[in-house]
Amino acid sequence: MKNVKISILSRLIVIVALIFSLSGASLSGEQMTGRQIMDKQKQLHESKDEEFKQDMLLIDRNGNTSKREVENYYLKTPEKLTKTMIIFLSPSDVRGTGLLTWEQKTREDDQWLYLPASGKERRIAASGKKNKFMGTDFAYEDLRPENLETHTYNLVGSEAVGGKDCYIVEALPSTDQEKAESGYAKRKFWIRKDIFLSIKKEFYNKQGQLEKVSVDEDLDNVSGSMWRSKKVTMEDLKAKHKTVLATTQRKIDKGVPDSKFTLRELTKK
Amino acid sequence: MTMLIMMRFWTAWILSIFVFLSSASADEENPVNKWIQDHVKGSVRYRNFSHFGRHKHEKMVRQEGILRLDVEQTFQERWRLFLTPQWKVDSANYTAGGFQDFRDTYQRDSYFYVREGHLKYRGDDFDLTVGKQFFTWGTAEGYNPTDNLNPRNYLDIPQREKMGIFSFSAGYYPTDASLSFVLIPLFTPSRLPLRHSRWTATSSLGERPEALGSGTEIGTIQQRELPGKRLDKMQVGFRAKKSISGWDFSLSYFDGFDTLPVIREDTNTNTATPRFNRMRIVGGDFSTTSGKLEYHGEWAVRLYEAGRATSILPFVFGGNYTWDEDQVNWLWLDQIIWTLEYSKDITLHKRDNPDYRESSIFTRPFQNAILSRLALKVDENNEFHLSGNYNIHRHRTEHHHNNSYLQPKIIHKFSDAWKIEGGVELFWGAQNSFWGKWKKNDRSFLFLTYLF
Repeated sequence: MKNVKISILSRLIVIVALIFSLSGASLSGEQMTGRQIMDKQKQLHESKDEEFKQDMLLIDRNGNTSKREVENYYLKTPEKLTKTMIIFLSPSDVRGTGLLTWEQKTREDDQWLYLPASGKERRIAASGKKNKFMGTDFAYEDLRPENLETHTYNLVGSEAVGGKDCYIVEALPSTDQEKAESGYAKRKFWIRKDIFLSIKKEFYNKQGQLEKVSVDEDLDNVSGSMWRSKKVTMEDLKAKHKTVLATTQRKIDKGVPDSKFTLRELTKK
Repeated sequence: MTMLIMMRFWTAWILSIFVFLSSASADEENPVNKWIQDHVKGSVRYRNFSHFGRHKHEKMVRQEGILRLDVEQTFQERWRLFLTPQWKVDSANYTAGGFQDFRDTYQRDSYFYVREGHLKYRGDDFDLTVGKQFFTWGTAEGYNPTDNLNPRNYLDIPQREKMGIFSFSAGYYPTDASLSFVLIPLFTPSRLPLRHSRWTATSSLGERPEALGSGTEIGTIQQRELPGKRLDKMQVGFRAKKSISGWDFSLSYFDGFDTLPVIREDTNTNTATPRFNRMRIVGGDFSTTSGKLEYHGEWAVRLYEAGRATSILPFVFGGNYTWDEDQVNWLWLDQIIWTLEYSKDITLHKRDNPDYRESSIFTRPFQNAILSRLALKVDENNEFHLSGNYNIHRHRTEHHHNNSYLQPKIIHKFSDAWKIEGGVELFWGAQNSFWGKWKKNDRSFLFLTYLF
């Protein structure tokens, strides 16, 4: 009899502990701040280096399309700063055009643009970051990694996107430099609660109007806790223009060397 | 007869483009077509220049057709062969002859021409290249005092396209820096305007292209004298470049020949001979950004041998300022980029060799000048550019009374492959000023380009 009581008691303890642990987990998720969610996203999905090819499909308001093929490289340096390189492979009018960016902690990022017709790389000013990149709906700043130190992140709610529960995190520029340089007054991220990955973004202009929306689809668990989307659609609502980025090849943490992110590589032909 | 040959050539040129393009777009399974699709790109260009004023020897309209291929093949990952053959015809006989000599000293463009062609070996942190190459030194936009390795094609002065130079080059790339070395074994002069061209600079002898506007009184102009094919006539260049804390710096040195000649007069024989002057150039440049402004500077100490030309220190400084969409959308524009530069040259040692005279073709072009370009981007398919140069009058400088050049241009892209550019080029100034000597050459231009 005593054994039965102990058994029932121990089961009760396990059940109560389970209930507490589950509710605790749920509470801890709800209690996370916007910044903690962004940190978690970074922690789970950030790679050391990446190399991928993408097809960019540009669709105008009349449904006319134009395709561009790009090669991307990404590296996280030992100082926790990023280096990125984008090279256009096609079509002919932009073939060989490249953009090299070195993120900086205490000053403006270094950024160089190479246009084959001029035969030389050109250092470009920070103001260029809000401009559209080579006719796509992505601004230069959309193509750089999220800088958590120059923004304030607020958790503003939850919503399901495509049947998946998401946190809605609002990102506001927090430094004077970022406020001046960025083309956005605010961005909103929909971050999946189960895998902490942004699957939708809204971009608001300086007047506070919703300007662009991007949606990530065809998610792929590329390694461990790391997920990537194979398709990103960025839509400019005012221009009624879309850019669809489809990733055709991807290599993660295969050791892209630092020498890939140099002016030599940018201007190579 | 000439007309018949030209017509045949235009026909052959158009047919060859047709055959090439149709074969490249045909059966993708055919290995040859597959190779062409993967390794051969290129462009077809039609250019029309319509002058407003008549000229004694040239028609008012000059037309050009250019088929250019970019052929690229990589071997064993580290070796890369790059070739840019070009077929060109034009209606003013600026182009003639099937092949050029290896040294490329022909006075006209050739129907067939290898514009660029080199073999490169890429090591981990170095590369070696041999063949016909282009070098682009300097950070300024309107004028680069340090960029002296390649000759230019002055057959059409406003175009003044660079010519490839046969050379050996080596590059070493330590972290955030580069060191480059160039050896040019054979000298290639710039291609000058033809004898009866509207771009020939007039001298006191009238239309004597060989005199190059030097003001020589000598009656007989001899053939130009090119530097010999000797070891001591080789040209060398070095450049070191480094990026530090948001600044790009470079230092360069060039020991070679000016690609534009000076005129050596011989009063005993009453002859004048165009010769090419040895020069040594030490230069430097920088580029950086501050907020929305990119600014840059470039200078060069240009020292001529034996006082045969004036040694100078030209410099350029200026910047680019960008207005973004949110600032200019009230003008129905996507972007405005304004480039403004100031260029000056300082005389270091005035020519003191009485036997030599300097030409005025493109020697010391911007002695006290403002160079500017305003690029208005309407959208991805439409742009308007306004480029210009204003040379400010300086006393004691014969060629620089106030004079200027202006080029408004519209660019429209029909698609990724088709593009049209049209505009006008206008020249102002006194007849003996830098741009003024071409003031009767105001013209409109229209370029149609197909890229494949």
